[in-house]
Amino acid sequence: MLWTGLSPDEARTYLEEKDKSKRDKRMTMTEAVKRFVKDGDNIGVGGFVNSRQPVAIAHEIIRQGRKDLILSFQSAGLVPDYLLGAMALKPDHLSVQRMEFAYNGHEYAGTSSMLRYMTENEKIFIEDWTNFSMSARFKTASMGLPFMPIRSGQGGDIEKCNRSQVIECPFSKRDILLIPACHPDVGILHVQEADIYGNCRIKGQTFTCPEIAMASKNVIVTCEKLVDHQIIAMDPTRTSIPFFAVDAVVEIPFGCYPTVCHDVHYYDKIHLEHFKGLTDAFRKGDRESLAAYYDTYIFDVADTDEFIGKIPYKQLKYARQTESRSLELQTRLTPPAA
Amino acid sequence: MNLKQDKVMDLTTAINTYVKDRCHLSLGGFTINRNPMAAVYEIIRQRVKNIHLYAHSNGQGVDELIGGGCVSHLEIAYGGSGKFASTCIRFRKAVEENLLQVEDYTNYQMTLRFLAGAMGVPFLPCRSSMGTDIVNKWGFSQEMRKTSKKLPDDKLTIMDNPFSGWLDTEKVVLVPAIQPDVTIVHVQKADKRGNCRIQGLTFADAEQAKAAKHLIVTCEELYDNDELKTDSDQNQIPFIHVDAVVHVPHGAYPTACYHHYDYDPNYLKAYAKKAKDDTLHGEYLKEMIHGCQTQQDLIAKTGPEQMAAIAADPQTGYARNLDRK
Repeated sequence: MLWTGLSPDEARTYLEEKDKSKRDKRMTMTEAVKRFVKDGDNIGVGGFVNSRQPVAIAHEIIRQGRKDLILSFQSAGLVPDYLLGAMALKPDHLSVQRMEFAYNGHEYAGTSSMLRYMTENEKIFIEDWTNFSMSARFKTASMGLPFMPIRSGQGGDIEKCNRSQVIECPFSKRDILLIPACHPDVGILHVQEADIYGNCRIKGQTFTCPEIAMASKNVIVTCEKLVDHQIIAMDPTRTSIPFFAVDAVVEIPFGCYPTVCHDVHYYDKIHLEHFKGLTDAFRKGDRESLAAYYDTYIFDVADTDEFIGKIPYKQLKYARQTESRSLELQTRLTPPAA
Repeated sequence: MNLKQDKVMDLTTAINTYVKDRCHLSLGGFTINRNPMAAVYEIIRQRVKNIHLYAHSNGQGVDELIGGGCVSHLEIAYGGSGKFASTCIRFRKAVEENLLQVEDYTNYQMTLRFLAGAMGVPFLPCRSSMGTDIVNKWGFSQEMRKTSKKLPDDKLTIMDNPFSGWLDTEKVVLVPAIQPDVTIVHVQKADKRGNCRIQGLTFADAEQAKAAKHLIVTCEELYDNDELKTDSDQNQIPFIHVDAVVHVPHGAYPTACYHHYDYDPNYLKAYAKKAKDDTLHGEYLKEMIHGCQTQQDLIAKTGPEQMAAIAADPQTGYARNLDRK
């Protein structure tokens, strides 16, 4: 059996020996990526399509450069796109060898052009799963189980091109699909609130972030804001990810920009469509425009401070306003021009 | 999927509609926390018989239902009411007198079985219980199981792990899903169509709720449908699973309901004493259960002074300075 990332046995052994003490896990983004993202790692990407994508972490991985990465996620947009774009531009600096996922795209704005470029040119290996099966794979790993039965995917071509297995259920005597656990080497997540120990509060949809956190060997979390541990302790049922699952906490407001951070800011249509347009153009032969984007927003900036510094204030303001105001108030806003 | 926008009904109607003789019932809560006690008492009052009951670690609710003569089969990991009865008293008596058939699983297995039911899959794998009598000894025989359409033919099964070995073993234990006819849970907040918000530990309530064909929710506070839309990520049970919403303040009494009231040590102590003696227990049933028409009658018997003593402190969610002896 091929286990990308950790096998259930390796994950169990690692977890037994892991330092689970409650300690201050704040560090710089540079240090977090340096310590926890290695060549060949299976990276579990948190968020969902255009929501809470760990963009700040992805940018830092791109700046530092890593080889032969594996990306595992349910449905994601920008983070795999950024990483694949970096590989397309500088394959000797950053490369992705494999992706295990259900969907890579931008909803209304279409499927990922970088994914199409990579697959059409046979530059990466992809393993196709349903959305539910990827969620279930993280859930399985988070529970410490080796596999889980699911109904999704049966009778379709998906079961033929991934590592799932069909067995006859000993109870129902009908066929059922078994999917293997997914234990990434590192989970990368952006959340609304965290304390210095790594306890995280996710607002709105949690997607598979808690499952990825519990499934991964190491976890890097960026948060919109650090909150006092006392606040977390006062209402512990709101803790979506417990501290012992987390290894690095980096406070980065707008750390998932230009994707949505529920209750903080909406997605920035202008920036998202700009980047999407450049990847579309890349696939059709325009390499320079995408390269210019990477230089401007990723390679020539030191960190997210400088990246966000390059975004027009009116766009950030509108993203904040559209997320925090009532629908009625939103209709009175004028969207900024591109 | 029940999409009605107003499922509010009284407890008598809810129990009468969904809890039938021989039904498979699961009870939410844990030991002496958030047991749906008002519903349990109403089931006893309606004299429902031969219930096939499921719980993971439930105490007072299970014990009173057994003592009330309502239960013929029980699948459970642990039945105890804290320090007041480390093993449930009527439960133990019923087993000793051969009045009750019991199937034994581990706590983890029972929660996995509810989770499997909630996910709509026939089983989940685990390693728990391997090499123990939980695997080797069955409370329900295979012959008995084969006579019931609602029961799997096997208590559990051991299978070779098709994805290679797992922690020094090639084998996994598969435990079958539970899909009860009806689940009853008691929650802090619910809206009229059934969205539920549980404060504090959820135990396996959400899984039990989603696994069942029908779901009765009793709640401390009843809200209009729009009110629980704020911070909707705090709602654990979506309304689609719910068939009846019953507003019963103190509906978990004498067990605890976090942020509303603590368990009542006086009541549980007195119950434990009476439960040990058939005559005293008979009197208890007559006076405290059949002698009350509603949960409010029972609360009235306890009296305002004791209810004030167990009221939850808003900061901690439980009663401070409560004499728990």
